Amino acid sequence: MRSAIAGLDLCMLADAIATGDISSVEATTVALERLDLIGRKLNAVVRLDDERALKAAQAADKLRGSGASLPRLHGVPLAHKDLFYRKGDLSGGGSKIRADFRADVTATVIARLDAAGALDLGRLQLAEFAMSPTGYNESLGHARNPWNPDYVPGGSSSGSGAAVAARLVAGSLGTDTGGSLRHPGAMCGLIGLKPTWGLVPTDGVMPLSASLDCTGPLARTARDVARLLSVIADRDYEATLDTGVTGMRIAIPGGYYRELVHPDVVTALDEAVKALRSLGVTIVETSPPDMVLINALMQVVMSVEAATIHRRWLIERPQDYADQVRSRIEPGLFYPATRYVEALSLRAQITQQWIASCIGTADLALLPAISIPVPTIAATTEGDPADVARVIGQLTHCTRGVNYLGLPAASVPCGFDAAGLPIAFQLVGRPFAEVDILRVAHAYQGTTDWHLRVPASAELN
Amino acid sequence: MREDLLRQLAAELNKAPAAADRAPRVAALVAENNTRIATEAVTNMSFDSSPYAYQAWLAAVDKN
Repeated sequence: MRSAIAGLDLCMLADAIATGDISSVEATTVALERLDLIGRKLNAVVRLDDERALKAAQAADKLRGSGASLPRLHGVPLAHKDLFYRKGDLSGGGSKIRADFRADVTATVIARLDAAGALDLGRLQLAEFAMSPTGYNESLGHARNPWNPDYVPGGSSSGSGAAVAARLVAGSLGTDTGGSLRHPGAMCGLIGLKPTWGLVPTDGVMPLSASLDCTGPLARTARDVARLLSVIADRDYEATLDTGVTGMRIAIPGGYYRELVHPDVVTALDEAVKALRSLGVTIVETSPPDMVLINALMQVVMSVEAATIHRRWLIERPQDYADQVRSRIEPGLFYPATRYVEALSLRAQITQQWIASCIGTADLALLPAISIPVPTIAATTEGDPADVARVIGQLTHCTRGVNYLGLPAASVPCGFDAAGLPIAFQLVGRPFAEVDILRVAHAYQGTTDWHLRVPASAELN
Repeated sequence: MREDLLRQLAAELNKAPAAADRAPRVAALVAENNTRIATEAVTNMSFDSSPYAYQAWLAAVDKN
């Protein structure tokens, strides 16, 4: 029974709790036990609030028993990246510096999940200050990939990716400033959706770069992501999910986006494109604009905004940052203010140019999520620093520019590499095209089973 | 870009002496990004541009 509950996806679990087939107490007990046992093995857990969660589960079951109408995530246990504030709770942001910080507000997205009936079991691991595409965390330890613990889970929402892939919780919120939802999504075999910048509130979420930060969901299915996004964005993304994709057009930009792609990834992407064609999608080829410029613009905005909020600690506690993290923030201390304002002022026109070049007349663009196979933890932490920097740069090759553009994007699992780690493609749309992204991902998952495969570390067999 | 200029920026304008000591390792990155964006802005940024234009554009294209 416990394995059966853990194996349910978010919408199945929500439906089972709503109908009374499973109680919220049962689901919450299973999730807490698995987070404590498997989650700690994967170093995916920061803190569990067992007592509070079980009380909330009991209250949820009592409400269901009363016959009251139930909200759409009633009694469903979730846990989130340790960047989301709840008033009175610790919120360390994966850092030594904020280890004792207690929030005096609750994030709007957490309040929206509360209102939708979801239970909040605790907080999950992340990269230090959300500053790594691998999940690197020198002070709290690196989270592990459920498909193989020697490999990175992707970051910065590393614990969220690991916990959802290992079936510890059915969904989790993360954040994405340069790929931090799409990286763990791609590397753990999940859909990680970065919404259009500004669509989902980021108040009460520890910031990294306000102009780039996005809050979004990680889950196994497009339907689950649609449900979570509907709650946190306060719009409906489920109603159009089943309307099919016949007649849709998807663009495949070449050039920059094909430069680093590993043969295993090429094969998986080609198969995904075939599957989309078989669903009635028309594929067109396009060419990206100057991505080196876009990456430079992203780097300036991110590092200047990060350096602005971290400057006090860079002065007072520089030794409490991992060097890999500090080295990403400090460039922001050196750019003139004119470069920063120029980077923001150019954003609308450059985004429109990217859309015209990469999407053109199509509905969406399809890119690799990660161009290379998932690296080992050793490859991203040990050896020649230049080699480590090169691997880390390759991981964000197709993701970081999207944050400057502010466009919606999602990782969609589409295979496994030779080492057995997940591969994903990335769908990118025009502003507020989350509906289209989810519709395509849902149709694709209807003809493939990548999202149904279970890592051994989930211990469900 | 001269490294001593970057050191001064960190130490004097940002009061971050430890960051100033590490300025040499970011000098090439900062110089390259600075040049690239400065050139683009001089060439393609209109006089009546605004850092808030992006938010206005997003609001205009949001059909909901």
